[in-house]
Amino acid sequence: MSQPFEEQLSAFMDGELGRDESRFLLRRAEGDDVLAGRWTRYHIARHVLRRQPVLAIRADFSSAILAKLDAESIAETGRVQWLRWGSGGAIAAAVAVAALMVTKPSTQPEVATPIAASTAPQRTTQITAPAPAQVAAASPALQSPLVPNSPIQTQAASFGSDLSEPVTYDPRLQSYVIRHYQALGTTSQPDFVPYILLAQPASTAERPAENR
Amino acid sequence: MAHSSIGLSSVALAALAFLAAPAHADDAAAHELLSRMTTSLRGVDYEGSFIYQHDGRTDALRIFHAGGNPERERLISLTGARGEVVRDGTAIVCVQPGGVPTLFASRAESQLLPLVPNIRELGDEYAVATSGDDRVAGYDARIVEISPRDPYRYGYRLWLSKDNQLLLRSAVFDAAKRPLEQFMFVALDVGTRPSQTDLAPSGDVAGAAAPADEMPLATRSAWDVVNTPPGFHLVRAQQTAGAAPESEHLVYTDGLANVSVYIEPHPLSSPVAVESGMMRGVLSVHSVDAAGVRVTALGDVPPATVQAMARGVRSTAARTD
Repeated sequence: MSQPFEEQLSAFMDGELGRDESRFLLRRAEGDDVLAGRWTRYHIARHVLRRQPVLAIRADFSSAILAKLDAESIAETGRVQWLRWGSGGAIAAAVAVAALMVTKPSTQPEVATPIAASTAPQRTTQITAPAPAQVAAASPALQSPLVPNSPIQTQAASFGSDLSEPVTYDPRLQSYVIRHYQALGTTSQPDFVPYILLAQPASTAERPAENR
Repeated sequence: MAHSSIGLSSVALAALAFLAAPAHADDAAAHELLSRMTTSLRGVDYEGSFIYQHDGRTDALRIFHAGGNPERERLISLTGARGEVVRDGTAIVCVQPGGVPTLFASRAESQLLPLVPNIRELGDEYAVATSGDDRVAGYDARIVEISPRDPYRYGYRLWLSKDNQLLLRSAVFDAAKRPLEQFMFVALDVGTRPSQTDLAPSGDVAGAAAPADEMPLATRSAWDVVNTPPGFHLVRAQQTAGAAPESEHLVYTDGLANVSVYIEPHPLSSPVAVESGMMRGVLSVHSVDAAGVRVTALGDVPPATVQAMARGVRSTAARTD
C-alpha cells in the first residue's frame, strides 16, 4: 500500500477525508485485503489509544459504509451521536456502525514490566545464558500500553475462593498467557482457548520452584 | 512334535489377538467419539449451565451456543462478580467486572467451554480408550479417557452424550490420576437456538484493548530449547511487532499440550540466574532470568515441563560456534 493511501486511511479514520475520496478509498478496500487489514489495525489502535469503544470490523465493512454514505446523501442524519468523533462524524459513525467483526489486533509493543514482580526468587543457579542482548529503543509513539490488556480482576467469585486475599496479576504474564493461546489458534491446531480463565479470575497460587 | 508346537503357537497368537482386539476396537471407538465430539461442539445449538472446579474453588456459569457459520457463543458467570465472554466466529470479547474489555481475534474458532482437548495429533505419549458409561445433566454419557504415559503432560476424562457426542463433562488429571480441574453441565438444553439477545454482550464493549500482533520470524530463530520433554516439538517461532529484535516467542506441542517459551532481553537482570514458578489451575509458568535475558515458559502442562523448557533455552549462535 502506498503512502498516500496510508495518509488517506488515517484521514478517513479521523473523518477528515472528503466524501468522494472516501468513496474511492472504500471501493479500493473492497478488493484489497492488505488495505482492509491495515484498516482494522488502525481502527483498533486508534480506539484503544483514545479509550473509545472498540468494536470489531466485519469483512464487508466497506460495503456497509458505502451504503451508509449513500443513505446519508439522501437524508442527513445525526442519530448515531454516541459513535461520532472528529469533524467527519458521519463517516466515522458509519465505520463504527458497520464494525462487528474483527480480523486482527493492532500492532503495539507491550509494557516493560518485570515478570512476576511479587514472586520471590526461589532458586539461584548459574546457567548457560546467551550474551546480553540489546534492547531496542522504544519510540515515544510505541509507549502506549496496548499490551497487556485489562488486568485480570481479582474479585472473589464463589465457593472456595479466598475472599480476604487480594491478588495482583502481573501484566506481562497476562500478555504472555493471551499470546500463548492466540498462537495456538495459528498453529493449525484448533486447540481450546481457556478464555474462561479471563472471565473467571482465580486466586493466583504461587508455588515454590522445585530445586534440583 | 513340531506340528504340536506350531499348533500351540497358533493358539497362543490367536489368544493374544483375541485379547488385543477389544483394546484396538476400544481405541478406535474412543477416537471416533472424540472426532464426533468436535463436530458436535461446533454444529449443535445448545444452552446450559455448568459448574467449573479449578484452583480449589467452584464457579457456576451459563453458556449459549449457536452452531453453524459463524459459530456464536456467550459465556456468563453466575457466581461472584459478573463477567462474560462473547464469541462471534473468530472474534472474542471478554468483559470483566469493572475492567476494560479485551478484544481477541484468532484464525481458529476456539471454543469457550473449558477443558476441551484437541486430539487430532495425539502421539505415543498418550493412551486413548473408552472407560464406561455414566449420566450427566440427565443425558446418558460414554466416558473417554486420554491418559498421559509420563509426568510431562496432563490427561483428560471426557463424558460424551450418547445421543450426539456433545461434551457434558470434562476433567483434567495428572499422570498419577489426580484430578486438577473439571467442568460439568448441570442443566443442558440441546437443539434450541439461543436468541440474539442471549448471544450479544449485555453492555457496551467500551475501551477494549487488543493484544500485540505477532508475526512469524523472518530469519532463523536465535534460540533453541534443548532437552525438551519427550514428544514436544517446535511448531511456531514468532515475534511481537515492535519488540526488541532478540525477543522471540516459540511454541512447542506434543499434539495436545502446548508450551510457549518467551525469550526477551532484560538488561536489569542479575548476573546470577534467578528462577521463579507459579501455577494457576492447570496453567504452569516458569521463569529464568539471567545474563540479560529473561526466559518464561508457560502452558497447560505440569510444572516440571515448563521448568525443563525454560532451563533448556540456548542461543543457536552459541551452539554453532
